Amino acid sequence: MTKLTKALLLAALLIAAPISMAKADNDVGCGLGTEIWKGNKGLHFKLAASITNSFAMQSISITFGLLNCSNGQGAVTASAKTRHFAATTFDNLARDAALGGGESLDTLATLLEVPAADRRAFAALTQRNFDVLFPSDRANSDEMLSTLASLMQADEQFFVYTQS
Amino acid sequence: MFAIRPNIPGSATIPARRLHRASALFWLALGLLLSATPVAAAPPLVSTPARIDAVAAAPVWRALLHQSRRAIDGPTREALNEARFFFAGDGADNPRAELVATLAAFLNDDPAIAQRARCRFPARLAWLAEQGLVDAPRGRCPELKTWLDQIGTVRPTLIFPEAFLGNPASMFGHTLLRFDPVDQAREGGGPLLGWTLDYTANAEDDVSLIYLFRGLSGAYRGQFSIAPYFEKAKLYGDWQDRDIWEYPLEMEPERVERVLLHIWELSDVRLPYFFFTQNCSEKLLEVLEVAWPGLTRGGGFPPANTPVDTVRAIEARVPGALGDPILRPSPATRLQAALAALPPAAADLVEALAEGAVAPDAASIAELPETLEADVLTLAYDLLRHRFLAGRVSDEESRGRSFALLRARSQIRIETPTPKTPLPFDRVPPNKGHRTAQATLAAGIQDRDPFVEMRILPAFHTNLDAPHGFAEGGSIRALEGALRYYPELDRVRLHDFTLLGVMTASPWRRPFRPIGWHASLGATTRMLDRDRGKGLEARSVFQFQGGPAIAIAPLRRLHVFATAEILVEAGPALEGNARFGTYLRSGFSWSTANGRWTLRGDGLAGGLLGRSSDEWLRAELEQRLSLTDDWSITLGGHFERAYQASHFEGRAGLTRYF
Repeated sequence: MTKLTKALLLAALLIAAPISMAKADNDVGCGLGTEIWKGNKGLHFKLAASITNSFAMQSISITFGLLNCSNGQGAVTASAKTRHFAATTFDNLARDAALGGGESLDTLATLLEVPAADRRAFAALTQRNFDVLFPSDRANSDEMLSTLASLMQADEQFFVYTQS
Repeated sequence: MFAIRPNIPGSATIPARRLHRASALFWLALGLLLSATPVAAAPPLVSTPARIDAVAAAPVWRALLHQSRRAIDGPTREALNEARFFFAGDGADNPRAELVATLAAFLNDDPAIAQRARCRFPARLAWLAEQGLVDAPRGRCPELKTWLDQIGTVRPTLIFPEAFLGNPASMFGHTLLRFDPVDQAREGGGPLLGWTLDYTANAEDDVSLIYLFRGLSGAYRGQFSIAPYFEKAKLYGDWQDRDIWEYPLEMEPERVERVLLHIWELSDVRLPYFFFTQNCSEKLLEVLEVAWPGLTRGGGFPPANTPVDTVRAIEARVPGALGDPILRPSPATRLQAALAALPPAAADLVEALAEGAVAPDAASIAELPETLEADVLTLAYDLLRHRFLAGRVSDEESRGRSFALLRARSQIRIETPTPKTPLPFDRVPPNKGHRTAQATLAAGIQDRDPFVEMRILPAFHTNLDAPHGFAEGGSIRALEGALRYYPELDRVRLHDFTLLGVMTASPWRRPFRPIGWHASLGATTRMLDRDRGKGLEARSVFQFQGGPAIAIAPLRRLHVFATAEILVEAGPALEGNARFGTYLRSGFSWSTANGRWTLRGDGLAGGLLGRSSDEWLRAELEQRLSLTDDWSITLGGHFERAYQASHFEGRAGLTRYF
């Protein structure tokens, strides 16, 4: 557990060279992150589609289309999963960061391979840096991930996870 | 003919999965998935006609062909054939013919054909190999392997998003399966990273009633899909605001493997979706049958299947498999619980902050004790978010305020995840509720005429039933009917029939003041005084009633509601063949803590308009006492005045829930 996770590295690359994304990350069709709070008006769906109990958030089938962003061979890369998670739960992540902990933030830590023992410190890091991670009410999930990567690199405790 | 899934040559080879079991199935899977070279040595195949008969009749084989619960119906047969799910022309009806055809494909002399068949139906292959009917694996299935690697070693959890009343199609709740990666759990990763198997109809564009109609008529096609649980928790939890129960399932790894392989077999299958029968719950049972053959023993009665039946079936038929559920409360549940635990002044501040009447940096906030300030800011954010999702606050308005609230909260350097407060109201897992079909045999007297009544309610819940495990203030009656026999008149009548009756009246509880509704469509009996003074005559009328509803819960387990409704009645017995009415109705129900005794009452007053106007008055009181989980006795009576005639009725009954 002493190397930068692929997920974090690739996320960091994204902001540095967004145009080269397709090369940096083999993902197809993942989109470019999500804007915070630009939510579907979920409860509204209750009256329409969701009454089916069955509204699919995207057209995903059992096979390849897992996350709708595979590497072309059917596998979903770790980085893609992290980005997809951050995009889907971006508002929950912002809330957890502000609170200094929570299920979504713990899950992000898992995806970033931060061990359980360091979760509290990880949460505290995001709380301390809330303004940096979420600079405006139009923050973007991919940008948040790459900011997080550089914050971890600059942090004494999390520096070790970013070294190969 | 069967579907040919193209094998992609040259797919990356990924290191072998860690395998720590050596069952026959697994040995086979290992070879199937990993061996790059054909394996030559194979045990002798024993396929005598008797052996074929035995295997074709085996529950697992029938489950793999989706024939274990009931004979395949026409539309399903068509859909399965369309998806080339069967090798044999009559595979949908003849498990033996399908077995023979499957074996012929798996053992085809052309290795390419055999391999395609094997990769398309890995669960059949694995099971038939266990039975000694198919030889050792020959080649690899790169797509399947990639897919299985993606999912990893998993443990299943049954997910039950509760009913959301006010939403006709979700009212019975929902079920899906979640597969939790064992590795991630070991590293402390939460359930959000699990994979869910969800069976859904594709009805995104239709509004409720159209959906309901089309759903009943089977116009939709349903499909299994796999998605990460964080998406489903977002959808059913955050967006649809439903409490979600998560039941861990104890299932042997071999069975999990078979389920996964079978899910693969269903990739391209799109089946007709029938709201009551061919629904999520039914399809999930069909998948679980593959793991636990005999789980549901042939469909049962009534043929309709509600999600809670899935939970009950596992509980009853697979001892020890159903673990204690964990509740993932909805945002609304959490808000209600948290606000109830705050001092009233702080709760006021939460609402003021969410509305923007008070700014996060106002003095009234800053002077709060630090932990309270943190909770107030958090809850204000949660409330604002909830209102935004309900469409009650605009995007522009909610954005800036949400951001300011979270920023202010982040300045308070206390790590308090969600304020943890116990729920102020009872939450009982759905499988602990009463059974959802009931029959009542009652005897009573109507004015001076005694009668015997047989009442059937195939689904689902009324406010006389034990409230545990059902949505608070909700009632659903589908296809309820009562036959009455009057011995003195020596005749049998259909006393009433309800096609569908729904009431949703969640109590007002800070910060919510929901407006519910009641609607009921069916036929009932009116007592009419047609021949003045010569006694009342029972006549049937079609009836619709409905209107908005509100409710409060002034005491624990006491539910009080009020509605303002309209009534439309039609029938040849009525003057002018139809009547229109308006009325106000109010009622209550109260249950003991264990749910064994319920008392309910309601009263209404209004007018029936027509050529002449009549008043309509009615008052009813009823009680139910549980003898056992499945048996209750009821006692009730009502007085009614309508169409210028009054009558009284009293009855006592014995109810069986099943």
